[in-house]
Amino acid sequence: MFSLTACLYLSAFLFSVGIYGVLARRNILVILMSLELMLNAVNLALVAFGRAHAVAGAAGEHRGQVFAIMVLAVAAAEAAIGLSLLLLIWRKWRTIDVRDLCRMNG
Amino acid sequence: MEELVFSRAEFEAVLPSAILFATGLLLLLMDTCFGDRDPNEDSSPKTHLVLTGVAGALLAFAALSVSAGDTSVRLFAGAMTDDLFGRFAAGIIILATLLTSLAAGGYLSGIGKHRGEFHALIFLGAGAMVLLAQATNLISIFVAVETLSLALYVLAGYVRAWRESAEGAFKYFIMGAFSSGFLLLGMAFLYGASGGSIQLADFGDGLDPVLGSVGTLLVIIGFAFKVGAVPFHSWVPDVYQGSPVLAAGWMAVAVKVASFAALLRLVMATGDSANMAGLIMAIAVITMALGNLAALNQTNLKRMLAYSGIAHSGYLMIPVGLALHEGSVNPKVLAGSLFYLAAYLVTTLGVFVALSSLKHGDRDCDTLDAIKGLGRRHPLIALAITLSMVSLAGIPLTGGFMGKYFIFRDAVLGGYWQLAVIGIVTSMVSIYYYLRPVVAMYFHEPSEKIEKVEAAWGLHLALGITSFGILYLGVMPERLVALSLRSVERLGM
Repeated sequence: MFSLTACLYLSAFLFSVGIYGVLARRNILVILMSLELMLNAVNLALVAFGRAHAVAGAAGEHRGQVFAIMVLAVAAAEAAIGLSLLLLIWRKWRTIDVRDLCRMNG
Repeated sequence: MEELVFSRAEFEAVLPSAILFATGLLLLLMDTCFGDRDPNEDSSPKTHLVLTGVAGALLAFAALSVSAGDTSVRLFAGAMTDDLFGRFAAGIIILATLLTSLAAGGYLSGIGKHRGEFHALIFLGAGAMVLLAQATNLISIFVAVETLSLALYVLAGYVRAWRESAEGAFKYFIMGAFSSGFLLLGMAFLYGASGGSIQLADFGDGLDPVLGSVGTLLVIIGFAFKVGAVPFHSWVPDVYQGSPVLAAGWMAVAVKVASFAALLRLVMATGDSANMAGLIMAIAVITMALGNLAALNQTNLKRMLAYSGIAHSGYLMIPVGLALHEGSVNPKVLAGSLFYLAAYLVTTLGVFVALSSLKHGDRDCDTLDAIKGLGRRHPLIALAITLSMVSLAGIPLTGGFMGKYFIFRDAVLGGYWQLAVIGIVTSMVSIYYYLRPVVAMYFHEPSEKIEKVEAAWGLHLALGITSFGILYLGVMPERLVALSLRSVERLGM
């Protein structure tokens, strides 16, 4: 249906949106969403490669897909940690703006 | 369809990390079950947790020697390899965890923040690090990297009451997750470039040239973030300054060991097909230079040590570049890296543990002002800090000197004398900032009231071990050098 190249372009686009979101946005929640977007963009690439390289019946046919499932699990754990840090910062200082988080420098 | 059988060799290979994970869970349970809810609980030394941790680490260390021989065996359909290299790295990680958990009781009760999570987190993180040192396919490397990172994010934010701790943890999380994205993208490219293989051993040749190079580059960037190499180092100072000092010490050592082990395996696997030798040497040079220069005017000791850690990442990059040089992959020089990491363990943990035995109210004692006159107040701790600083600076008769000597010697022998010269010059620059705390300790009047933590037996024991290790590696390095040479000879993939 879709060619490998098309999937990779879409994945690269989503990844770039994620990078932009992390670097440019100030709201911590949006940054967390952008991080998730980066991981999911890679998932798309993995699944696309997995389908393109599949040899029917061969051992390890679905490596890319399995990798993507592992990434999903890791992303869930990461989101849990990220949100709890966000909660900690909100409870202490009533802010979710990254500009308020630059006390240390040098 | 292959039958799934858990072989004896596989069991032996996962035993060390399994013991570490089990200890972590046990510590968590113990703290929940036996913790009495009185308000002073966070100031009690909780010796039962310390002893359990120490026992678990010793058991894991013993489990390393269970699997026999110098051979490297591929296990779990290639997901991990049991070889001497992995066990060497795992040994350093487990020793770091042992020393940290020895020191944790006294330190955490001293600052009144003693909870079981700290012990549990270092053991869960260490289990993942040991897995990373043995991992040989993309999935197992990724999962291990992420598991250890998650433990580290929480450890960095362990002291919720300090603003710096939460801030450092959050920066670490954002930068870490960001770099994981690049690491993962690189892995996806490698998977695509190899035509559907996730096995490191298959990345040697036959990679699609463009996709393979980009993939290798992205993975190297991902690991450069983890070890704090320039230009991906900006999180390191903030995280070290914010973390409780003992956690910072454990992070500094264990993360470097695990990440370098994985990086070495990966680089050995891809070979120089992507012309990465020059790039890695360039990273090494700017990391050495920038780390040492930025450390010069730091007044916060944790921040100074963070920049020093960046500089040491630079020294550690030299053997990686050398091993790749001129397309011929030469694992011999990697022995320098392994020895350096072992010396780095005792040296760095020495100074961090020494700082953990001091406190300033319920804060870390981490500024140059705060340790003024320490030489008169607590001469033994001052002596241990001095010894570690001397070793970090690379002055002879210490482990730090021998580590640098082997790396620079290999650089000269490999025809890259410029690298050695830059390394030596930056080491000389570093003497200035490493000796500043020593001057402050011995030649200044005690200005502030430094308190020493009570219940410091574990700290003293850990300090004794690190000081002995620094001198032992400096005076009699032969045995460990021989072991590290043997380790890299049969590097498995």
